[in-house]
Amino acid sequence: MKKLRIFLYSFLFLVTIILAVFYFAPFGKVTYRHNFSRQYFLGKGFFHKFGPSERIIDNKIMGDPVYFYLNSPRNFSQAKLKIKYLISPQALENNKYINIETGVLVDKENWQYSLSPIFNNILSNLSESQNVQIEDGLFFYQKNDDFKNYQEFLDNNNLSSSFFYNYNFNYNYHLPDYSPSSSDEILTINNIRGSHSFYVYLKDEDLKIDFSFLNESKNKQNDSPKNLSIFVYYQDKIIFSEDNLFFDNSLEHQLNLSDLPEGAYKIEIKTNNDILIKTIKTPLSKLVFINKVRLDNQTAGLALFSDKNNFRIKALESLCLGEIKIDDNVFPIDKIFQQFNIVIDKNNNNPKQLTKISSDSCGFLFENNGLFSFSEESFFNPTLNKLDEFTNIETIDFLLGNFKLPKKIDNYYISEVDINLIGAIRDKDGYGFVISAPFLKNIDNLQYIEIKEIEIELNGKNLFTKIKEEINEKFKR
Amino acid sequence: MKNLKDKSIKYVQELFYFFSIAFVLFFLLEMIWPNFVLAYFNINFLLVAWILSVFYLLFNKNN
Repeated sequence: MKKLRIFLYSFLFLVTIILAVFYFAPFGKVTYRHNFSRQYFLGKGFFHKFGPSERIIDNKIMGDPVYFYLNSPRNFSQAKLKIKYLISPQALENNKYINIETGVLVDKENWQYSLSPIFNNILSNLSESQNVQIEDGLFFYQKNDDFKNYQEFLDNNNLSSSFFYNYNFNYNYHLPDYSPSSSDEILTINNIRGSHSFYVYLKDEDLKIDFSFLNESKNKQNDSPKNLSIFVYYQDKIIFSEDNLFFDNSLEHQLNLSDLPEGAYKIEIKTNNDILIKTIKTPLSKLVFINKVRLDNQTAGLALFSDKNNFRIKALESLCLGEIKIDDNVFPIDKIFQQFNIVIDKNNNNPKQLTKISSDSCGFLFENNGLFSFSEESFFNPTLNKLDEFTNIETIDFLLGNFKLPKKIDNYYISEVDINLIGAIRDKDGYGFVISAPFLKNIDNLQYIEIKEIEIELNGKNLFTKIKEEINEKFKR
Repeated sequence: MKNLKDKSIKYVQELFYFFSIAFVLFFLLEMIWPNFVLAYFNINFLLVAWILSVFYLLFNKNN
């Protein structure tokens, strides 16, 4: 009997130790796997909350996007996500552009994920041609054999017929014939809501912008004070930040940076949709919003310019429903919260001509993959051509992408991406992940992605380093 | 025969203590660190084993 007792309690001790090792990942590395064809029997696993339920049925992704959570016991700094999937033949046949991305939640208030591509049919098709080089994890395609490798291509800066995919090229953009405005004219933008990013251009000028923010939370008394952050980027690197500016009702804030080299600067305002950016005032003459503008409380109608001809437009206030004019075409925006996808024909004689959007409405949310300005004069484009669903493949002379081609085994693809978890949100559900497949925006039973298996390897500090750091931190205090 | 039964009762009694301790331990660990046990093991299986041992002991000890 004593032997049995020793055996049982040694077994219990061993099981507890094994569970503790799995849970605390003392060596800083742990792998979680979810196989959809072999559901968990003994435990509930680490992957959960796959949804929304109408977009993912069993293991088939029918709509876009799909979310899931990975329950992890502690913070990690890096994740390697491996996914085995099949794209239905109908989806491959019927969609000209198939792009699948995955990523982790980095901003909960704005529902923002940092995405990495796992599949792109254009790159996969191009990879079969002979003019593709894969070097340093980069995919480089050239129509004619003009350059020896991608470094030579980047050094030559021939960017007009070049396209980039998931690649940030820190080139020094200079606007030709630009001279600082000599008049005292102030560029003013009124009433935009929530987080926004925009570019300004400066040469021998100070980066001077006056902001006025208003807290329009309907439940101010019960809410905690609102906060926002402002970041300034130059060539994709943060050069200045003001984190967590707290305020109750309103905030006047001035951004003033001097002795900056000539170029395009990106300014990012991170906040939530309760915050109205009442005014943005600057003596700089060039200012363009990136990918999104949410106008609100516009009293004299609205006018915008964009370099793209495709728009996703949403009315978020019932009072603002109305018609919208894009160049010479009029479209009704007659349903609240519904996204209207509008594409207009671009003037082929002058493809660089800006698209004008106007309306008598009090505000809409405008989104596309391009830029928006409030006047033709203030528009400039410091961005590079990005590969997207509107790219005409015939026009691609060069394509540089930070992309690892998926392996194909039978009909299944296996993709692997590295995801940076520093700055990712981990709450009681764990890390939030997304699988984005915009080609599935209209739910169709025959078009789907079938997921066979997801594996996530988490890497971070080992437990001993972590404890050491904690002790050092305590002694410093 | 009686000897064998006595022996089995002793073994099941030992298992009953083991299941009780394991259940309490796993329950506490799960309370302190959610998903410590449940991610890998469904405690309901342990509960069923514990109930079976209880019934076995109840019926056989009374007899």
